[in-house]
Amino acid sequence: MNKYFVSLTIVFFTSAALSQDSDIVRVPKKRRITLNFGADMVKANAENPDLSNIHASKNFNWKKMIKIKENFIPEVESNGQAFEK
Amino acid sequence: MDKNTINSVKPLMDSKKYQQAVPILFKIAYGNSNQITPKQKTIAQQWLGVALFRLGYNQAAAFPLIASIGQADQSVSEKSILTLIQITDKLNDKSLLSYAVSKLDMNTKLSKEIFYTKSAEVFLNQDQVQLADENFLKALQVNPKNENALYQLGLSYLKKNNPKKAYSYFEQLESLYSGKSILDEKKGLATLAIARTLYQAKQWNSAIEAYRDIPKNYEFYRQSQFEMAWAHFRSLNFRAALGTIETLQTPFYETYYDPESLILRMIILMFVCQSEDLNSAVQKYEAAYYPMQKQIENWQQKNSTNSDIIEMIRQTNLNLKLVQNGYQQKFKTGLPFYFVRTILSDKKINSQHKLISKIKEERIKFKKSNLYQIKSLRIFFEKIYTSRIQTAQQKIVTDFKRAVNVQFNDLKQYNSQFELIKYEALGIKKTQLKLASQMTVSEKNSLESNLQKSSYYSENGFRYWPFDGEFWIDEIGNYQYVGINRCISE
Repeated sequence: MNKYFVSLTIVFFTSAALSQDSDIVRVPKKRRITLNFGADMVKANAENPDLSNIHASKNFNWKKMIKIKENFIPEVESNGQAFEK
Repeated sequence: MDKNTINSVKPLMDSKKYQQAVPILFKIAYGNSNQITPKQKTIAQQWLGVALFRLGYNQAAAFPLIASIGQADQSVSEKSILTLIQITDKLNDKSLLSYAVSKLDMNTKLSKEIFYTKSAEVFLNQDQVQLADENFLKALQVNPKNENALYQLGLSYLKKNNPKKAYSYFEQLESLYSGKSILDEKKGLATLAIARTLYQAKQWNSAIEAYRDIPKNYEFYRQSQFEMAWAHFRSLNFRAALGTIETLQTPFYETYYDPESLILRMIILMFVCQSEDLNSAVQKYEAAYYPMQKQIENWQQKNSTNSDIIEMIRQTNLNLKLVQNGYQQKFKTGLPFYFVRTILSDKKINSQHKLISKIKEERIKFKKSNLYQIKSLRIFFEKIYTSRIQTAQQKIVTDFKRAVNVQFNDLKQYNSQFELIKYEALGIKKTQLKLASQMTVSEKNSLESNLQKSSYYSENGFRYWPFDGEFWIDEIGNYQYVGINRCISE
């Protein structure tokens, strides 16, 4: 069952894997956030979700249930007026 | 010297005494005197347009200017077209712009940049994208910092599904505002366009970073949160996505019609098998959005008249002001209030609505001025204002009906998604109850059950909100979803 769901998830989120190959390089901005923990040492690790942690029923009709947003072109289009002046 | 000749008005125009010049120019331009030559009439029309424009009567100024274009020699026509273009920018009136551009001639001394940009805008309005792009590219060759050309070319490449190329244009655009506050409208929109481009390029983390640059008090913050939730969802950051969506569901944003974010929330809750939260979201959707389909269908069958629709729009705007000032809305028309409110934010409706507001403001200004005392001017102005308002209202009605159809079809889609979700939600609940009954006590003693014992869980479930009382804008965006994945291997 898990294998089935993982393959489904990959279909829906092929993007997650592909994203690493894209060419756009966005230079990260320096954010002015200072976290002061005083003398305390903070040890932490970033935890990303793991596909293997996700389980779901194989009977879900994901294709009908989710209309994946591939882009926000209508939104970009509707904001264009601001630049006409 | 006759005081009603072009020569007598010139000193008034030169010394910017437009208020005094207008009645004389009007008499020359539209009077029946046989002593005035056609050339003088045309010059008077052009000067009248300029004088009215300088006095802030943009709508009224357009008409004598249009009359002068084509009648006069080239230099007078050029001046009239340039003033008309300035007016179209102020009024954001595409029909006027289309007329002005149709009269433009590349051999004139007009700025090439204006020519290419305005031509491109007209082509874009007529959905001739290829021609629009060609003109925007030419405008960029003249001025590489042309904001509209950069934005529209970026958009064009998004439509061609080439986010990399689109990004290069949006990046150039954003760099134009590097010294400005993020609250600057254009800078915010450029950042938002970059975030959307990165989303389309499926670079979720970079997109999320860009969305985070949008401040809470920015006009499009709410929209950016919805889009960021999608980016989190697609990068499989379910908790982060839910936390972002919780922001959209707060009382701060309760005046918005937003079935889409609730559907997204339900889908993510299904992914993490949070059946209790899923059930509450299902109930919320069922009460707020599901019945709307029937309401809209009934309204569409009623065939409302144009005046019914205009009245509904008026009522919506009045009620929106009531709601924004903390009062209860008293909306009693065929369509749900929040639905109509969303329709009114449609680009074309909004633009016509703003145009009507500007014409009405201009009309009030005119009524307060000394010019209103002159009968012939009063008739001339009123005729313009009445016909322009009627034309704009007709466009609004057409666009309103179109937008209702679009939203109705979307709602039908959401409702069919919802029906499936509701069915699956029952299945999840059933499976969880069955498996829970087979668990040992130690298995049940999870992080989640610990959370359930804490005081905030009893009040808010898995929504963690670190503030008390009312919702303020600086607190928005601080929701955290603390539920865990409850899916259990079958």
